[in-house]
Amino acid sequence: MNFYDLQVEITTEDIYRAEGAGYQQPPQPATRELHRRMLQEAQRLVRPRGVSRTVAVAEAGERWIRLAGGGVLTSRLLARLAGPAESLVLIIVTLGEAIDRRVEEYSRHRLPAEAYVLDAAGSAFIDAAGRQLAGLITEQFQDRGLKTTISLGPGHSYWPELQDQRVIFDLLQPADLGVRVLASGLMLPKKTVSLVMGVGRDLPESAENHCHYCHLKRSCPLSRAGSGHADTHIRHDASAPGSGRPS
Amino acid sequence: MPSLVSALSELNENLALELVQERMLAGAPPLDIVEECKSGLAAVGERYSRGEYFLGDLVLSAEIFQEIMQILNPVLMSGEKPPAAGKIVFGTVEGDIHDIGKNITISLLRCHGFQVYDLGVNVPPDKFIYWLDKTGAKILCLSSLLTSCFEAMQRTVRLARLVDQDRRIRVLIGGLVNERVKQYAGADEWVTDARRGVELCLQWNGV
Repeated sequence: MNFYDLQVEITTEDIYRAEGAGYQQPPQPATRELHRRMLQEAQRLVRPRGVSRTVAVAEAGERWIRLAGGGVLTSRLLARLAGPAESLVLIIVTLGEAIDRRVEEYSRHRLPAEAYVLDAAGSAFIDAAGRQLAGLITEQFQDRGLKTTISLGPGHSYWPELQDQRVIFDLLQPADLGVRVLASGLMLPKKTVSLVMGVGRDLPESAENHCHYCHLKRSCPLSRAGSGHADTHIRHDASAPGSGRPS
Repeated sequence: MPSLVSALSELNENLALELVQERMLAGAPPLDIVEECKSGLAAVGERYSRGEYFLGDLVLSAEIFQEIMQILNPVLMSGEKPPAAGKIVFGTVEGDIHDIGKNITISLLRCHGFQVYDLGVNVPPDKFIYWLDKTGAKILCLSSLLTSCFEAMQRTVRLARLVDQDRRIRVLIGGLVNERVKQYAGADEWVTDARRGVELCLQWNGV
């Protein structure tokens, strides 16, 4: 098991993107000021941390992968891309609870604009943190002559079985990070993501990132399936802001 | 001289509050001020429809309006009140804890005069029914971002229909939903856009 403290930086532009706000003209001063203020607040509140573990693949079918130890992950896409892998690397990244609490406070005090923008800042942070850690782990495997697949995660349209979160959770035991999983499969803190990548020498070709396989690729503000954003494919994500270090 | 409509339309909170105070000191009827503010909100909505503004701007305008209403409320309480829109019971369905979209929509609905009963997140079907009965609300808004919670949406709507055989209650679902989810759940309408949700509620309310 490896634990990571991540240094992640985002900009107000990243927050606008997380909101799906594609301004053609500069936003109003009040909007800019709100975003500047919420970015500063988010920077103080988030504590991006992650945990990863590599688990051998025992067996793979058309729609599932059985891990050494018995856990089964049930995604057709995962099975197609990572079925031939020697192992899967399981990752959980979280920003911690402080930002959730603050968003709730703003909502409770009927300040929905602050709640909305701070939540979007959290989305931008967790997106960047997940990509950063996946990129870092990919580099570590590359140094050992191994390839990785793109990262996939339960809860997306290509992997609808949210209960698979429990399999990942049981193997990573992320309680040290303050992460827990609800009966529905949702993880808390809210700004937490789980990622799975196949690791091996002979892996099938895939699209640049998981967004290409997601039904929400045209509507999700964080989608990287379109041509509008710089490609930050995790396998070559040397430009991701900040750096991670095992701790 | 800048107008209250343009101050709100440009999200200029300080100027808008200043103008409200000036209008009050000049003896303007508070309901006229409310109407001007609503015109300002409508202008924000138009900019949103044109793609000049986005959700953050819409919510910011709602917040400014709420601040203005805090100033006006004491005066309105003692005199003529603006016509109240209907009552709405609103919550995130059982199994889901996402609430940002819900909260934004609620704040926009309140700007339009709706009395919204916010039941929070992870709300079981019977709690929705209890509040519909208690408040007499004729609009039920259900929110969810999880496909795994569509079944809870369906259970909630079924229960609502069971106790509302005359079908007087309109059900609006929002979040990660579409026409198929609407049909599965048995709802009346679906939205993925807070402003469209407000428009539908106003329509249902006969405004």
